[in-house]
Amino acid sequence: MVDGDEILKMKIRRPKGEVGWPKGSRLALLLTFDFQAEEGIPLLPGGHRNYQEITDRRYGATCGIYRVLRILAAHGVPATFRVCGWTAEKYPEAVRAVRDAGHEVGGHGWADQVLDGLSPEEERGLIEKTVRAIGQVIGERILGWRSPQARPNPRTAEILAEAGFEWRSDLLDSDLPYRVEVGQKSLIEIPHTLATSDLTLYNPSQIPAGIPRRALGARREEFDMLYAEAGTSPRMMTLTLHPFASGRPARARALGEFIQYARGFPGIWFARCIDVARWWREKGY
Amino acid sequence: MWTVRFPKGTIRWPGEARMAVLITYDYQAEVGLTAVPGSQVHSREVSDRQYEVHEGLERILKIHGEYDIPATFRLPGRVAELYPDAVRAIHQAGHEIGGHGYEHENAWQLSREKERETIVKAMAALQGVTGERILGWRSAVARPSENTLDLLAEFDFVWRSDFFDYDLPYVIEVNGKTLVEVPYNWSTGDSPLFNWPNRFPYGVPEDALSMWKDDFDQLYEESASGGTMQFISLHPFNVGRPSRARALERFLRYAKGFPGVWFARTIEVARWWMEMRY
Repeated sequence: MVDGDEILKMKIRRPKGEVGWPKGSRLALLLTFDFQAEEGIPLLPGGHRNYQEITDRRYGATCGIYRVLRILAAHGVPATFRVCGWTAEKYPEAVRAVRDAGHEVGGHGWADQVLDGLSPEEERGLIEKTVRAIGQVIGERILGWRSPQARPNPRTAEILAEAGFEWRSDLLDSDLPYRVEVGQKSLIEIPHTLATSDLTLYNPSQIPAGIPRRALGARREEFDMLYAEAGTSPRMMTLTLHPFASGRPARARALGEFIQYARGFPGIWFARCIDVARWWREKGY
Repeated sequence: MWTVRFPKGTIRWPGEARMAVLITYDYQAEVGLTAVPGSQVHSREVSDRQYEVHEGLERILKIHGEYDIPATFRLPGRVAELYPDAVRAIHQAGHEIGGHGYEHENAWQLSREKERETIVKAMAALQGVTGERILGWRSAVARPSENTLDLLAEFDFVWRSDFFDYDLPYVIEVNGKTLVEVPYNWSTGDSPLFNWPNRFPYGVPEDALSMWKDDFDQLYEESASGGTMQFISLHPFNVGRPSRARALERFLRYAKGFPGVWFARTIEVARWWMEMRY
């Protein structure tokens, strides 16, 4: 069983007083992607393969990732891609393309299966296996993590800190990063939001299934509000995206328009998660 | 088992076209209520589906006629037995007719023999009305079984449209035969927008129009460096409603305004794909 109130028991140090971003930026804007491909799709009743879900997810690795990379390149902005270990093994060329474009590669579980029910040893093993699989593809050890479905176990933060991770992005409780103390170590938590995520705006099992113009509207509103607030004290905006969802043509176009919109404002720091985590630690917030 | 061969290199379309646009429909009447998870079969649902028999199809055919845009209709075989006039109207307007189960059965829940039977019966029923055999297929709810490709290859189908994993058609080799998969996607379809059982609120026509236009604009822009394909999958009982049909009409007018757009039937795209060996 997962202990749902993990957050209430963790030793957290939230920023006190003034914080700032590099070069006096007002708003840190984090474009982040969870890249999971098709592993982990449950079977249909009777043990049949669910081709619809499998191929919809696979689209992220065959087409979506490349369209998203083209759009990021066209705007010259960096992003963070949290990759499943299985995906790195199955689609190494896609993950290398992410790394070669200068984006950060982080981890996102072995497959898109929640960590529920794993013992700390099993979870440690799964994280290490993911680190190794991605490391073999990109030649570097990953430093950041999002748990599958953003549902960590109570021990996940500690396991990650022990394994040398610098940041995690699993919780939803703030518009700024904060530090999580675990034993002798600490981890920077980079909170995210469901308000602008593509899986909440585009989930095909919901109606309306997600209209790119509306997603663009939601993201612009979010940006406008945070940017206004950041006039007083710097803020952070994170977007959670998925190549299989946001890589579809119309949605990718709307994402590109959002990036273009944000680029029109002064004082925007397009940052990778690792950039924010290191800044946060360096400043001692 | 089968082998997938995604296209490599730059894609060209016939003539000077830079983009293929496929407007496709699943036309099912109330037969379509079978196998849709969460569906009730009550007079409310049945009559909503029958709307396409009495109004929706005619409105859609009229729009396609006015803009001279060919389409693909995929039908359960049983529809040809229940509504032969509708099937004839589609056929006579020059649109392609493909199969979509016999009674819109969930293929993955059938034995191999039962599924084979649905294909045989659908082929016979549709050919009984049009005089031509069907060459393309989509499984009900786009949920094929492990056997579907094998069976379609056995009957020498040319194309199928069940998978979601690519922006262009691709070749599937099955038992020494070749099928062209023309992939489907939810991101431009009308089902998640207008008709997911018991999920509200529905989208509004403006949503559909902007979604189709954004999809078109992106793919048209990308076609500067190689052929692209826009694939839209609709249902006459959904988009055949007046306000939605109006949005569809606006979209077709918009897309027609661009040079180098090839409005194609699925079979034309599949044949071109084979011919060019992509």
